[in-house]
Amino acid sequence: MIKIECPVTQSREVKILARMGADIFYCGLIPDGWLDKYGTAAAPNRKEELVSQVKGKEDFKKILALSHKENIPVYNTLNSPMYTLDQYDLVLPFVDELVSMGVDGFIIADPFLLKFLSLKYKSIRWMISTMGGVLNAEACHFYKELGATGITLPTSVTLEEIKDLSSRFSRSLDLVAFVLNENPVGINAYCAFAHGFDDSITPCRRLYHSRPLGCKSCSQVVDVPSSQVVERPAVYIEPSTGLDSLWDFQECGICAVKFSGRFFPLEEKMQYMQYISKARSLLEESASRDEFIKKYGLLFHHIHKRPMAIEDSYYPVRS
Amino acid sequence: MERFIFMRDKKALAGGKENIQGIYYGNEFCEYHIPSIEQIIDHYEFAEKNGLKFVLVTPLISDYGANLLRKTFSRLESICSKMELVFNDYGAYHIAHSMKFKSLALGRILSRQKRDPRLTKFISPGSKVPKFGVDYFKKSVANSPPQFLKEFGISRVEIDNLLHGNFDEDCAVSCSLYYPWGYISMSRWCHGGLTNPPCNKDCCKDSCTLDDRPIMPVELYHFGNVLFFKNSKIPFLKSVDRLVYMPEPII
Repeated sequence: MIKIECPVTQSREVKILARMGADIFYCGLIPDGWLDKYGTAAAPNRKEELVSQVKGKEDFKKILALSHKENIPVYNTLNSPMYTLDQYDLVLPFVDELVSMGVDGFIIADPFLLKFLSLKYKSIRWMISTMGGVLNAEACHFYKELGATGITLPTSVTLEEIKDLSSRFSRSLDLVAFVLNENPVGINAYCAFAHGFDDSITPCRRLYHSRPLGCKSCSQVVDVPSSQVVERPAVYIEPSTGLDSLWDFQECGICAVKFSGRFFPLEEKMQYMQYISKARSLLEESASRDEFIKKYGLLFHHIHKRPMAIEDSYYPVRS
Repeated sequence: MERFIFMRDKKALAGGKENIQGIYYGNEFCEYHIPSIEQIIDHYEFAEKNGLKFVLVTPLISDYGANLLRKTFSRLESICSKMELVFNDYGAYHIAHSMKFKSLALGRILSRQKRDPRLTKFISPGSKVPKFGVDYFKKSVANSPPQFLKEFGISRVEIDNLLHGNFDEDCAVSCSLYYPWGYISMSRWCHGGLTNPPCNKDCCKDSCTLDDRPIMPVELYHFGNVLFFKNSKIPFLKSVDRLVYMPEPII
């Protein structure tokens, strides 16, 4: 049965989320000294809000202990796409410490750091983050040769591409797909907007005054009538779920599905776990893909209070 | 300081080649715009004939682009030792690194700079961001430990001309600075190609400005599947030994 990878932020969440069906936990602990030196906006794990971080090593040890009691592995996110030379002074001792505490793996994106650490810690699991931007089989080979044991596929990979990658790598790599709370339109790995500085709407979702440009020369801004100036976001489409692809994922060998949400309170994490667990249970209740799609459609309607449209799907089937 | 031009076509040099030491040819953002082998050879020969260095630029790729690059590199085998290669995907790197390209450069997409124009105010003097944090937002992969870039055979990093400034110390390798078009974000969604194949390559028609001043301090430009900013002010940076001029965004 396909696994569920769940975010966790505090030790008190572990037992409840485990009982709800979590099979893998991921969390974020920040190295000692990091916040004083770099601040929150340059977080080492892509979450700039302190509420998304585990509150200290003691609670992290409790998360490990409670999770292992439930036979659930724990990954710590270390998925900044780049660590600079000065940051290694904090990152390397941090990894040493977490390994000695018993962490099962890391979610990582920097290939240089991966190569260095995977040679040192051969028994640790190294899961490539979506920040690794793996869109093709050659990139899978690249990371695998550096020591990766799994890859989280970006949500901008199509269902057909996922099936193809899975057919080639599902036996040698744990492939994971996001199903909730991700924006699959942009490529997160290659978005260079900054987050964590203010509470305003993220740049990709803001409304901009937009004027069309002439296509001949991009240095010529064409004057257009004000009626042609429209308000639009940088990102038009915002699909809401990847759970409709669960049947396909299970069939093609995807190891686990995952949702984003380290910053959510426990109650919201529980709601997402309930949703995903219910969707997963539909796999056993369905004799065919069509039957699963139909049953999931009803679940979607129940959750979202409206019928599902093709635009809602992270991984629509393209004809 | 070398000066190169990133051109869509050799006609861009019709006005003269003075003060240009080389050309960039290819694409960073879309595998449907990978030039044909004939186009690459044509532009390579043009460069050679005019005493110019030639840099082949390759984009982010899916398996479609990987298959195309494999065939392309294979056909270029006899001349690739005279070409520099810029890669914007580690899959492309994986195909190229065993070949004998003159050098391998990590492209802008993989240089991992933070390009948000709002950083001009977020990390301005007087902000609460610690000094090391301020420096971090001006850095790129060129500031990684030097031995790593060497191990991977990477001799150059391509960087954007950041509006909030580039960090100019501790660069492990030389950098190429692109101007005036800096990329901020991209997606695989466009009006052709992935979302509506086959691609008819008319994405230049899908272009507009995006204005949200004063929240976003400058206008942004949306071409095809890419968001750009513009910065024509060229700083003096000791880590930069090559300027790459883009007369237009090449998507």
